[in-house]
Amino acid sequence: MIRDTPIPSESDSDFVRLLAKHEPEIRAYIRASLPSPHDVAEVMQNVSVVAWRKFSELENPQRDFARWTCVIARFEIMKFRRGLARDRFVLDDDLVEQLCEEGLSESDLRAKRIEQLETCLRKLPRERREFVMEAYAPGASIKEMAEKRGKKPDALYQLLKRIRRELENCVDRQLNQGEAGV
Amino acid sequence: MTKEGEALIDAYLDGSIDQERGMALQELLRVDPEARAILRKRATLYESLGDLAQEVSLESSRKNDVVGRMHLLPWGIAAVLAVALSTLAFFKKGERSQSEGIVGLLVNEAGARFEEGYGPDEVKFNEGEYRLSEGAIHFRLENGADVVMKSPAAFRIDDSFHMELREGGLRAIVPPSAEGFTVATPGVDYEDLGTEFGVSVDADTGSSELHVYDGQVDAKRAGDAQLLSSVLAGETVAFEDGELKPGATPASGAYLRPGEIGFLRWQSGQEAFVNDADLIAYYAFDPQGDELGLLRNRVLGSRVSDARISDARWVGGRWPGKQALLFDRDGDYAEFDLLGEFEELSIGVWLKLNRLDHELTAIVDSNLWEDGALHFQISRTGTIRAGVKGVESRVREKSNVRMDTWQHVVSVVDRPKKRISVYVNGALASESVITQDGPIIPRACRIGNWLQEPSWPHAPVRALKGRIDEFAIWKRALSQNEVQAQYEAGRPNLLDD
Repeated sequence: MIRDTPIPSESDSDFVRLLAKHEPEIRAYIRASLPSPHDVAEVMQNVSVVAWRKFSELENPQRDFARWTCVIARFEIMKFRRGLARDRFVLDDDLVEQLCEEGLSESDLRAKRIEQLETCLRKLPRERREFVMEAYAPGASIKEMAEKRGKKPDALYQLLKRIRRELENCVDRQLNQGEAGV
Repeated sequence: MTKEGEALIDAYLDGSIDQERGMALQELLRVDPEARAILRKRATLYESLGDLAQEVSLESSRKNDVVGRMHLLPWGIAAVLAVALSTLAFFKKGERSQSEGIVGLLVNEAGARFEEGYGPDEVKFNEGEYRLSEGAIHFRLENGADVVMKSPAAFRIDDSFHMELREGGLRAIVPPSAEGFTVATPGVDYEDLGTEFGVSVDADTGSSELHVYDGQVDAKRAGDAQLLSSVLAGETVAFEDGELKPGATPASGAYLRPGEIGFLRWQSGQEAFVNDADLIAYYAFDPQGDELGLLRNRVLGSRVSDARISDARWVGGRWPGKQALLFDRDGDYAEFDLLGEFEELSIGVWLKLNRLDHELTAIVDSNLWEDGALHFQISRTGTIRAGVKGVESRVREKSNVRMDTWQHVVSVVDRPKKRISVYVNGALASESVITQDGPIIPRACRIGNWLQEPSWPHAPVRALKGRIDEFAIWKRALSQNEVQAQYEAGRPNLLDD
């Protein structure tokens, strides 16, 4: 049986395209203030819903969408933090405000970093790439990975840290080269 | 930005920070804009790694084709899915094979001794500390990088991409699969970019030296990974007193090559080998001076002569530096006289076959075809047969030789036990039961060929096509354990059969 499906309006289509394009950098923006991936996911969902409702208020979506959603994200972060249990460490509100504020103007930089990260990841030797992807796979835990390999979790964590540093250096290098026009 | 500051940021983003360290991070972030910038940068990178890992997971779960069907879904559901897919763990990665924590394997060693508690688990290297007190080793890491070291050396293997050298020197040969392999030394990390290089560390001063044989190695300051120098093929740098400077090219033997380890092992075993009282001929295939036409019998006062080389040419053997004879024309051979009559006789040969051109190929055959003549040959299908004319036997074949690889083949004729055994690489390859006995009288013999009976008009050609680089004869029947020990002492490396 064929079921009727609603046809998205032009505005809705624009929203989906823009959200799909900018979502990674919005999530990165949230992550600085809420380090838990689950918290990031929850706030991102709230941001998506709010942004969708308010999308028609945005005058120049192509130009302003990224920064605008980050402003929404900032409110959602602060709102979400109030509900967080205090048994784990959270940064003080003023510091989160400051991080959010400073991060607002870095939308382009975040996008470039994400783009370069993919390039740098491809440059990694296969074994290292697979290791880091396994470590960041949904539900992965360093402890379980260490058990499977018969290694100490700390050794794997150190390895992960080294690979992340390599990636970070690579991303920095790529961006510097880009700036230098190389 | 201090290391501790960076560690706090990582702990925060990884969700492993406690209240106390959290407060320290907070203080740092308040006063240091650079720390905040690094936090934001890493938040971006780590979050994106999560995204990319999910894409990989989705890719591996493509059979579910959720993404592929998304455009068919109502928009509202698609939007929610778009968010959900990128935020929730829908798919689990498939199991991957594991190597039980082994980071590397010993490929070869020559007289290697490790300090108690600081050696490999037989041939297995796991993550950990190692102290080589004697000899030399060659090990291969999981990613394909080869590391060759001689004693004294102290090092730590963190994983197949990272090792720390505290004392001694190493040569690393790094294939593309191991690009990024890093040797950390006091104050400086040498990071390979696909190449071959040597590194050494003076344990007393902490100074280090890097020589790049091929490719490029980046020397980075330990700790902040700041690039100090990109060192190219043929260049040497020395790190002393916290400074990296151009260095002098090391002597050619400063960093052992992989092949040199096997050669060293073989050389160190020579004395014991020759001291066997039952050894009557030993051709080591290492021509001295102008004796290029001769295989010198190293057993003094033996009834077995030196072997005269006819046409066979000198080429490379099992290891760089080891010589071999190449037999590649029908007229190539080396001839010797083996006088006397024997109850037992064993012949051990290291050879590498190129082709089996004839129905039978001679490893060593007595000239002519007289009673007591010795024949050690390979059939066209690769079965090795040993026999004596006049000695009838029933052969039970077990395995064959292979082409293009160095192999140790041994024939043992044991008349008292009525048995003829052939071993390949230390394992029994065929066995015959002697059904009719007769004497072993080898007389003149040819290595790699056979002198046909002149009166036999269509005598078959049995010329060997390949290399031989060691040949020995004992006047007793070697046991399987002895054959195995011969093989172990001479095998090209410890990985291949």
